[in-house]
Amino acid sequence: MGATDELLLARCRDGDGEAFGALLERHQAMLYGLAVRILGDRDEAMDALQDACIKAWRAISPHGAGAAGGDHRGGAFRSWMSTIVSRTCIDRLRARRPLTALEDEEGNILPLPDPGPSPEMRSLAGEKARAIEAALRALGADHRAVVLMRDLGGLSYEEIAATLRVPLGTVRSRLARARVQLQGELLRRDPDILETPA
Amino acid sequence: MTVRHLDDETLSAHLDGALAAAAGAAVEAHLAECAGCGRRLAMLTATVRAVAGLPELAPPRRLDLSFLAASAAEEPRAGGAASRADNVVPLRRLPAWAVPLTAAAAALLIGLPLLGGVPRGGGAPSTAGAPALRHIAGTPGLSLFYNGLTTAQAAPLNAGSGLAQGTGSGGPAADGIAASPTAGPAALGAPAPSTTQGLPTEAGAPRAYDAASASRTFAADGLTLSMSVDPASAGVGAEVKVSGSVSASRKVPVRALSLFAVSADGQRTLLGQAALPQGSLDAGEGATFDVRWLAGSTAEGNGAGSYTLEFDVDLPASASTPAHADTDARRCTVTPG
Repeated sequence: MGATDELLLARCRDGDGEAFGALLERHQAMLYGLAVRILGDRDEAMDALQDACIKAWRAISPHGAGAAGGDHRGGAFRSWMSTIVSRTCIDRLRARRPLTALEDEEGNILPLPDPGPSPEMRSLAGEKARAIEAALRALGADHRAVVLMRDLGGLSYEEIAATLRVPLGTVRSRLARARVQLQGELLRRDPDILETPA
Repeated sequence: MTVRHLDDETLSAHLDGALAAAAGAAVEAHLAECAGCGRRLAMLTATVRAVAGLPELAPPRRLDLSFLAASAAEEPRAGGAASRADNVVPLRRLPAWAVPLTAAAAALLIGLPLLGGVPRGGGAPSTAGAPALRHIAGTPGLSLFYNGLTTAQAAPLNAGSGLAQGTGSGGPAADGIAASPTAGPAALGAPAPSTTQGLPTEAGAPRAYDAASASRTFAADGLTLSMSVDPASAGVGAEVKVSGSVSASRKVPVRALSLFAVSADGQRTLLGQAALPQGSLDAGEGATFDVRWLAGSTAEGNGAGSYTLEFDVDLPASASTPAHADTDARRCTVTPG
């Protein structure tokens, strides 16, 4: 099983780069999955993940400290890195379109550039997963990002608010609208996805 | 009697356990009687699960980890959106601090005037333009602000007061709150003369801001928070060093430290965040971090005006909190009224 995240983090605080590398190896697929779905571009997602890793290492290594932010989804490092990756992705989204776009209440400003049938997309298990990916891509960038940060990345409302630099109430309302819109897209594509167990 | 169904936002927040206890109970009561809203909640839950269940994706290429080899003296810089690259900053642990305990709370704010844009003509801003600081959220009495724009005097927010303005004497308050526009974190004293109007002047080095610091002890939480703003260099739009420190008098669960700039219109920009992986501070232990902020720069661009700088300490959620509602920042917000 190897060292726990907590132990590896402790080693990171002592400047152990190998420990940080091990943490990244362990969680990079989740983090990349978050980035590519927010950005909709494989290369940019890879660049964002790379940037986020450097930022995280800078935060952990010099004087000792590092990760935290929620104990859900497998521990502090995962959650903390999800926040950094999300923030990096949002900054990239902002950089490639008008700065006000993310603040627009209606979302739906920029359609997600379809990355095409990437190898990883093709590898997704089953039609359902493909339908979910397609439904997400149908959302505006703002709505997609908030849903992914919350429901895939596990960020708290507060972390999302800080990442998007919007008030908490905006996160709450935007997330609700995004989920409802996503639900509509899923219904259109594959209603079975929304079948709930009795 | 008409039945008022639950709106989407309420259902969504309920799903996340993000409603207050009373509101959550009301929602549960409604759901127990309303099959329609129950179905909507089930659909929404299935939507959330669909996203949560998406598979992980292997990166198409290996991460370049050469930055790990860089020495601490040559810290690597992230590429891309460089302005945000500095938003994750080192947190360093301090030697044990001996701190007195007197008050109770967990957030601290300093408001200071900043000019981040094009220099305007000299002279002080009019009183009409001076913001009154209003306590609008959080637990009363937990905030502290320094309103340098109006009078360069410090004034504590009194417990329970809905409105406070920078007209106090500026000395240490009775309950231990103190702020100084010019002194270091530990030096509390009389306010400086009203010379910190935040406007560039024709004589000497123009200053977009002045130094400010504040400190407060929160006995109930076993925490002391300090923050300071240091004009790292002079000039309009120059860099400001904002520091936040926390120390504990007993073992306290602390998850993260955050520094924010809040503009006059309420836009909140995260300047930096650091976290404690161990999730707590031991008795006598402290931590601090700082960020360098290009004064007035926010996600929306560069804006002249008055900003409140806010230091938040995030405490872990209570044991009964649902897994996703995981932050209890005990945050107080002060905005221009």
